[in-house]
Amino acid sequence: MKLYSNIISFLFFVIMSSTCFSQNTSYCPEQMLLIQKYKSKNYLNASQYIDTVLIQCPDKSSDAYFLHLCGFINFNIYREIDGKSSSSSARPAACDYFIKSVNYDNKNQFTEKNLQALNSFSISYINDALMIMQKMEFKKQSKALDYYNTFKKLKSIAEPNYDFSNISIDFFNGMGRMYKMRYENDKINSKNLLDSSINYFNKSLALNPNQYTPNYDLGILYHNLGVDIILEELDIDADLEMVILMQEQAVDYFSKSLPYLEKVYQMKPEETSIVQGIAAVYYSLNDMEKHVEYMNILKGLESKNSGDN
Amino acid sequence: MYNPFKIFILLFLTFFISVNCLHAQQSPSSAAKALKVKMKSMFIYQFAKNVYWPKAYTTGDFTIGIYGSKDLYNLLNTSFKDKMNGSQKIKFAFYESASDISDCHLLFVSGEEKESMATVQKGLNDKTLLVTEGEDLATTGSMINFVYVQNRLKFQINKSKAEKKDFTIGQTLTKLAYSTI
Repeated sequence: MKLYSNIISFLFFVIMSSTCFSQNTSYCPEQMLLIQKYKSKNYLNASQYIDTVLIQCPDKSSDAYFLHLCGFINFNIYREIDGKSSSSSARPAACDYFIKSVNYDNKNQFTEKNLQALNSFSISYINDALMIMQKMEFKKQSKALDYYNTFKKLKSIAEPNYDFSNISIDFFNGMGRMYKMRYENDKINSKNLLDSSINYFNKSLALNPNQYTPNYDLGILYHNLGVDIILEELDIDADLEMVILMQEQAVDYFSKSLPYLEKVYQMKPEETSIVQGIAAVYYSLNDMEKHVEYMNILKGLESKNSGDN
Repeated sequence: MYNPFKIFILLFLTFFISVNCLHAQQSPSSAAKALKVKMKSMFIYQFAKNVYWPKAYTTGDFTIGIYGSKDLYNLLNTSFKDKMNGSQKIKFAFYESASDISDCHLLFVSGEEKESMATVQKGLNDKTLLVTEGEDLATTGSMINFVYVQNRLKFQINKSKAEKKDFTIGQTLTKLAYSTI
């Protein structure tokens, strides 16, 4: 990460030295003061002075150079003062300024540098989103989604032809997994989280249907739902109508589980946990012919594995 | 060129693999078996509640006998022992062989014991409602029979046979039965 910081620092100084002093804009002494504060690295003071410039020189609100400068003031607050904290308010502020600067930069004087800055911010946003998922910070899950959306927005501006498939797949799988774990920690009170988990896994599979992880997760998830609805949710002395109704739901879940597990079985035919899972689903569906078929496969794999060891 | 994405993608892969290993340690088969046992136990309890015995058998304890499925007996005994069926306290008995079967209100014979059905039937008196599991009610000679139809546990009722012994099958059972003869 230090190498990354050094590269950003270098880029920043190249950008600023090439743009700060080469502008022909309307005379605004407050802006000159702002540049002075900035040059002396008094970023917070410079940031507070932005409003003064805008009050004294209202035309600066549509000045590509001024907005570019404001972007870098906030960029440095985010980096130097806030320590690249994900909660830094300077980061979204910097992005807003850079985007506005791009929009007003009719002569394309600052656009390239603005886009470079936006690109590095987009990376910081997706890294923050992935970090939340990697640390399993459940309470920040909605922030992860915000960061992902901001990443997409910024990256689309910085690189209009960027292919989001791979990073989106990682993000959707991570979100699906987080919702699944939250649900499994408190099944009774967090049923709504289950739909979110399934939705994210399906979004991931829509981008690439041949992935092992979300297919496996959905297969196991649906199987466990079928089991849970009978073993956990159905009161032991429930009346017959309820028993029959819950059985219908369980069969529905087991039936949904099968295509996912059979798909991952095609991918990893020697993975015993998958074969065991499929055998269990067929057992739950009382398809004993298929259950025995997969139990025999499982026995074969287990004896092969013990022979290998 | 340095790519900050790579670190996180690597962390992600490690994370996914480790979580998948946790799944591999579970045994879904035991849960699937427990599910079937629970379903049967609930049906049997409801059969006891929704069939009406001749008046001569409505005093003392209400005994449910299980022949051939210890898991089912254990669950029933844990869940319903000493609950009331009308004015009778429910008790459970487990029989290891057909010759052990004694006086009970309801007898469930597991599908694994279908070979000894003839012996079982010989020893039954008019008090006992016979519940079986098999491919067809006609072949088991019972009054209620479990069948699997399209992946679902259902039951058939031999109403005429039950009525011959003065059992009254409740409307709920009749309505929810897969078939009635």
